[in-house]
Amino acid sequence: MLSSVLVNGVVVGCIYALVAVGFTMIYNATETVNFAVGESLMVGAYLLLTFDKFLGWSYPLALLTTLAMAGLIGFVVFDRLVSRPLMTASMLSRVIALMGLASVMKGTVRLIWGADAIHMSSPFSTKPIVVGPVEISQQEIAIVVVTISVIALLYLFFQHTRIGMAMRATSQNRRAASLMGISVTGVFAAAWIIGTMLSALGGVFLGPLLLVDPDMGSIAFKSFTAVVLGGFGSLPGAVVGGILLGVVENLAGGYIRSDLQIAVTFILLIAVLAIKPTGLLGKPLAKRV
Amino acid sequence: MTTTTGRRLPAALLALVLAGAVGPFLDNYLLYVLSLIGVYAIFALGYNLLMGYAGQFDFGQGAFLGIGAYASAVLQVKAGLPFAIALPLSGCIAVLFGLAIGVIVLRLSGFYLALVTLGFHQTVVLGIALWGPLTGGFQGMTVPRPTMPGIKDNLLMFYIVAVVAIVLLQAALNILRSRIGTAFVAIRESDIAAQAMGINLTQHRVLAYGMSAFYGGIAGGLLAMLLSYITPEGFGLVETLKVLTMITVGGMGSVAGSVIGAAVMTLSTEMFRLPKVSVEITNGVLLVLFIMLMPTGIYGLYAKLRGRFARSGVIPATSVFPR
Repeated sequence: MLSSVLVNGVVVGCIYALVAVGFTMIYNATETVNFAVGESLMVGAYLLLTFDKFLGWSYPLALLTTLAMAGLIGFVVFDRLVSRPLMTASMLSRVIALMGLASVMKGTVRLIWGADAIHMSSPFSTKPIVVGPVEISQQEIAIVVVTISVIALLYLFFQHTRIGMAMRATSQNRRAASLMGISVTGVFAAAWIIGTMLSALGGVFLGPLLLVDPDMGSIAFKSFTAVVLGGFGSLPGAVVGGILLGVVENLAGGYIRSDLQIAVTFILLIAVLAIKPTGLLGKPLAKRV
Repeated sequence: MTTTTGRRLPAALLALVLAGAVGPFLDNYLLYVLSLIGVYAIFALGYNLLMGYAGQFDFGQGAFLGIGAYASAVLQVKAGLPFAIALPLSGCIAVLFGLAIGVIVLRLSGFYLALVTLGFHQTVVLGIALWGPLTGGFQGMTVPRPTMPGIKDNLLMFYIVAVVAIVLLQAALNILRSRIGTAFVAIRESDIAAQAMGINLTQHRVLAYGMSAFYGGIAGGLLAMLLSYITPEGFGLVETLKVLTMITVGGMGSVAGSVIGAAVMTLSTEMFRLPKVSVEITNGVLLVLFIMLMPTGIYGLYAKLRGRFARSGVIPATSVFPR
């Protein structure tokens, strides 16, 4: 029991981590709290469903098209339509606009695909493979492997590419980066594109584990909690927080009651904020007056 | 500032008399729509006290609506209390939750505050759904309607909503013109400066939560009465989004704006008989458009055109939205 609970926790935690990393990238670059990250995830799941199940494309092609479309949505809708015009507005304005965008996305999906939950199949077998005491399915292995590879790729991207370094510079000091000739607006666009693609990938993975429905974006609350748990603004923290939250939640679900998951997450969130508001790997919070 | 209070009291009485006189001539549907506007005006006003005036991010206001609705329903159905007692009690129960959440989020601001209130909301909805024996679980529960011999149900409900709404509106106006209201605005502009001026931050933040919870709870109790059947689903994120749209469209940091927002949004939803999908889309589009083009809302525009902000003593929430 314990081992399977832990495996489930890590697998779900990987999805939280993907979304949390996308969220943190966007925050670090644009200082915008993306309250529509759950809806990016949901749209990702629906896009894959459409290409793979309804149009009958091969899975790799469907996945690539989904990610490309997600990137496009990140660029056109999130960056150009909503984020860019509000660049100089207060954080509350941007948060409200994003909540509005989230609502539009939910309504649009409900309009196109209907309100009912849809089953999504996975190209990987869900039959468990027994490795010692652990039972794990191909599908779960795929989720963990892809997550690790994506995070490794992101690490290389941030360390070794020009745009990755530009993004790090911008998150440290926007004005100085701009003075050094970095196109800050380009960095914003890159953050929105990559961040939205990561959450869409989360949706692609989450779809087969749950059902796909227009309200599945509420899972974003878990990723927000993962971000706080790991330390707000820290990319490694987002990964650690995501996986840790997945494990804790599954332990609580497995040993107490599974339908209390949201409550467990909420209590964990309050506990972290009360005991160590900077999370596991976050920098200390300071406010300039 | 006190002179405006004196001038506004007759306006409240006039509104009451008007509602009383017009009521009997309206058909049931119109009465229902007007009552709905009243209920959402109370709800939006409570939210505006917290968001627009005290400047506290809160994305879980729907929780108080749900708590109020279920408290009122359970007190009537399970405890057998009459409506006249159940309604104020449901407001008080919501206040208890409001104070609790106010204390929890005392040290938090911005994103953290929004996140905790979002989680609080989801937890409350879950709690209502899982507490089956009391609340009927996901199936929901029927709420009795108050009756009075010689007066039809819809008219009675309209009168109840009208009286409660006008009393609470007047109360809010008076509170906002007192030291408390000024302190709220000071905290919104800069909590550190407010503290330096001797404003007790803890006390006022908790107070703002308590007050907005009371308004939300009462609105919930009244909404349950109007709908006569409630489910946990009906108090989800959509309600928070609805009230957020109302105060954004009407005007952040303005009492009149809350009422305008409630009226505009309720009327448009009812007039076009919008299904859930289009409500989601229109609310979202309105939120984005107003934030971008008219961040002080309809009332903000009106006040700007008339140049009235300075005279009315209402301080616009422009700094919530610096452009």
